[in-house]
Amino acid sequence: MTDLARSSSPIPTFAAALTILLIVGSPLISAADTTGPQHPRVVWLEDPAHRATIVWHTPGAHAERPDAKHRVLWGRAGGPESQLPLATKADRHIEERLDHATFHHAVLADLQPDTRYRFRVVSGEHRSRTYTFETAPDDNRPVAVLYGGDSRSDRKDRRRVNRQIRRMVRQDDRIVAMLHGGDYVEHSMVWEDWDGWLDDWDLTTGPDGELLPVIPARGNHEFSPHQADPETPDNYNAVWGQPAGNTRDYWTTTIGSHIGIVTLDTNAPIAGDQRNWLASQLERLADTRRWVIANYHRPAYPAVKRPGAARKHWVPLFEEFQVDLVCESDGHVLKRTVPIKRGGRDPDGVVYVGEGGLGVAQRTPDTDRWYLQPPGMAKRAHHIQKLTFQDDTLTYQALGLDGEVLDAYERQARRPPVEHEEAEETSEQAQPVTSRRLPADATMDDASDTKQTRQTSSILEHRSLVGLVLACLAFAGALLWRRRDG
Amino acid sequence: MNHERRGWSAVTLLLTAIVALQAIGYALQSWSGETAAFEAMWLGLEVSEPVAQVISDVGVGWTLLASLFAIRHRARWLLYPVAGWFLLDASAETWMRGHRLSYLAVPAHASQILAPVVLAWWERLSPHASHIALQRLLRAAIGATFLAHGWEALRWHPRFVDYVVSASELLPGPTLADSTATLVVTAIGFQDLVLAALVLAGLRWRVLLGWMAIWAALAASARVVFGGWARYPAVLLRAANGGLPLTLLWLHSVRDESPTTHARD
Repeated sequence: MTDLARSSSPIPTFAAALTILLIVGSPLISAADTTGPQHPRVVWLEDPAHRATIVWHTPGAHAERPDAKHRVLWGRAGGPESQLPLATKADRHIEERLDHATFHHAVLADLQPDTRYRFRVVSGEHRSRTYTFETAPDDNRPVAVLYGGDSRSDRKDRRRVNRQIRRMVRQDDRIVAMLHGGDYVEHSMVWEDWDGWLDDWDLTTGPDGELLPVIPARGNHEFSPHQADPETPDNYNAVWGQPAGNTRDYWTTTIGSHIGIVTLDTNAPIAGDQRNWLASQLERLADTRRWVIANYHRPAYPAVKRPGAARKHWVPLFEEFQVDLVCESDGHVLKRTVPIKRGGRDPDGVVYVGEGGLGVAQRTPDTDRWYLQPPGMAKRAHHIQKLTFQDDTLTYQALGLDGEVLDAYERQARRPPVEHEEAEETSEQAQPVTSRRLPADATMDDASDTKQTRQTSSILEHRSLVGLVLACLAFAGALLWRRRDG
Repeated sequence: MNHERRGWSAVTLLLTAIVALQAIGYALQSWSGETAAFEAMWLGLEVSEPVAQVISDVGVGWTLLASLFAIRHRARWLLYPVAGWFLLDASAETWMRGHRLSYLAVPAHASQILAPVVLAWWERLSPHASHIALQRLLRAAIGATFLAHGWEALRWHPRFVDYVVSASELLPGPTLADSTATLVVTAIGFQDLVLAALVLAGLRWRVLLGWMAIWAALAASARVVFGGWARYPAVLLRAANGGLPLTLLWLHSVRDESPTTHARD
């Protein structure tokens, strides 16, 4: 045996030992990774300047000792790690045990606006790494939010989108939160779908554990199987910490002193209580916020499908109270409509954007629809939208997977600036709900119309009736023809 | 004998109208949006979008043309694939799970699916033939549809609540709150289950079948009350929900009034 052979012999031995160790040890390593707190995330509701919900879960409903304690250890960021006040507890902690996991929702209260906080979650003997998040400001400084929907079935692109979100947050420190328009997963009842989604959402987390708060909305794939039994949690409410309680999924988030974001639920009844609530919220926000936007799943002005019931029941309210931008999902395209008022194009109307491209196969839009004509647009492209609110201007950008600008739009403020104190005084939630009837001419007109103006729209709104008459004539003709032939 | 022949022609006309109307409604609704079959092919089976769209358009076109063509030429075999397409589309809705009660799509559409089969079968029969098997098929279709809708109502289908709220707006007085509308929907659910049980039990009460026909037509019309006149294709699509109870009622009336039929039935 040569010296060379002798000297090299330990290397293959070491490599073989290392390989065996990795093969044998990898299940242990991964198992260790999935026993502790999973996917901590931050959810924003009504008052993100002062409150935030931390949500995490532990695997298996009965995998832990019943007396295991679950806590959030949190405090202001900035000091060294040792100064993290480990003894501080969240003001409210809720546990939900589903078959696949136990979910923990902790509401952090009395937070300072525009402040970075750090936290760790502790479940039994397990402790997460340190994460951070920033509360919303409470003044009228420029801020930006990201928006997107539909991330349910194209996992490869979903991961690309999430990496792009992280890049955007790193490049623009005005970004404070992510509005999701719903349809996170294919099958809301299948926990593996959510688990995969949360795995992928972790890609938006910064290198030092910076979390982007989420303002969620329910999509049609996040249907609740227990609507007749609201006390039973479903995966959506478990994952997002029962964003608005277990009986309804609509609420208003106020960011700064100038922005109101109304989250609506197109899965729930929309023509009764929710419409009345929307009217009261928009009435309040019109006097107290310079910018008002709405976010929900099923579009009123779709680029692909038939219009949802929001067209008849919510759009008149958006127009009456001059909502600046409406975010819609569900269609799997990128779209921006022309400003719309009373069923036609109007510079003072409402602009509808979105349709969902956070990780789902993209469709070919029906660009013949009148409301998608220039300066509106529609195309197939994965995308993330960024809404930047400044003093007088709302800037909208749709960005592709590599950060390229796919669409851009600016809208000037239609309401006067609101003084900080004035906004504070009137920011209480839940105005009395009063019944509100729709105007008599409110209707969901046909999505495939190509009308350009309000005048032509009124004619073409009857296109579907003309179709019915023609169909009846064809049917009668066929019957007569058959009768003639005996 | 003339009475039977007239009754036979009337049932033929009614079934033909049902099949044609629902085909028109289906085509109008599908072409202004998309079919569940398209979504299942494109997102579920990952068929390319143009191919899935072509297959979907062919399926929709087939249901329309075959239904109208069959009126003229009595080519009843064309109607079996129409029923097959409706079944495929409803199954796709279940498979894609796009809403909370999608698992009920096939029974909820049972009348729509089986109406072409009933028409095809009906025209094979002579005016004097026994209708027992056909009546059983009709009862199965009607029962399944009412059972599914009843269960959806008991599960508080959100759109059903909206229909009740919207209908209350047409009446004088205050609009119903969701909680009250939910109670109404629950009552409707129980009613639908009872009606389904009675029809599946083989009861021949005219008032039962007549009420089922009227109620199904009202329930279908609620789509227009809720969404405006643009929603009329959804009403046409549900022509069989009220049309099949009416057919069964008519069938019983003809047979009951004919002195020659009881022995055969």
